[in-house]
Amino acid sequence: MGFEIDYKASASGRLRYGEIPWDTEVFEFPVIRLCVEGDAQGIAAELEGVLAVADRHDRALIVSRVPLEDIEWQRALCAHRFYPVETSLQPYRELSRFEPGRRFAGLELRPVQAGELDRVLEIARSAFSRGRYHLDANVPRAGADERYARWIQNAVRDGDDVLVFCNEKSGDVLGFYHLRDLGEGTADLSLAALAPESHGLGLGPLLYDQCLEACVQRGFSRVETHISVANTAVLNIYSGLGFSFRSPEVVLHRFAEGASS
Amino acid sequence: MSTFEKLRAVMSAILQVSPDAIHENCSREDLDAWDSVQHLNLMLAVEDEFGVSLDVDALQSLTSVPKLVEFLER
Repeated sequence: MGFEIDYKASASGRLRYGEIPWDTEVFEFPVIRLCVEGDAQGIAAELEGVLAVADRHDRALIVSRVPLEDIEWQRALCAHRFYPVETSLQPYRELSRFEPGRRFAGLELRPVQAGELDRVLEIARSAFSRGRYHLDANVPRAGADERYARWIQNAVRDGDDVLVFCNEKSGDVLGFYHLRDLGEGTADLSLAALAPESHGLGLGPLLYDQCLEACVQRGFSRVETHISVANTAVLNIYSGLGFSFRSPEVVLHRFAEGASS
Repeated sequence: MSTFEKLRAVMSAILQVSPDAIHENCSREDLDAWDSVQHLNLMLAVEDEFGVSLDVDALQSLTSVPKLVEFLER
């Protein structure tokens, strides 16, 4: 399945939309990403045409990301029953001057092994509570949890870099992360999590610090990620590790007419 | 200076709280400042100030003053 979306464009090219196959698979109703570009002026008829495609379904979710400062697009979408779900940021860090922090003995970082995948999926199902699907009361919680497990399953199946953070002595998996190569020396820290019982013990900063070191070892010169502003614990970790923040975006959702009426 | 008194001075400096707020039965739940990032900083300071090496098990288990004192006096 990979992480690719097959987009179609509206007449003016200002709207592009495509089904998000991995989310559709999890939620068992179509989940469609709508990308907006350019000026929102006079977009209503074109937008209604795109939304009519989704509204053919009894239940379908359309997801759109709009720059926080782009009030016109937000207004245009909200006039068509979109509602804001979260604000996200894009943290990034150049790695040329990265110096790894101090390490504690007994922590091991290595590619996930077949026998550990169930544990990683268990962590993925339980570790996230502030993802955009969790923050939308109209989205089933079980699907929001399962989404992260499927994410890791798909990443492992596709041969992506999924690493586990382990207690070397006991072999316990404490956390994991998923890295993707975006090209031009940039890594996408796509998903990272600690087991809930390991929260609050200083392991988060160590996980992310070792993740940055792994990026350097893989030859990346920059790392990027996305985060909800609701995830203040990890924002504090990113800040401590020298990340900068850019591209605040509002994530908006809209269910098809049949779903919410 | 007892182990507790020395530990209290270290904790006060790292957590930026008054020494009076740190008592002999204090745990992470008692101090808002003792969050994840500061727990890591505290463990690093304990290594430096007491000349000990901590491993991941210690990081996960030394979550109260009594546990820290017991570990440091062992």
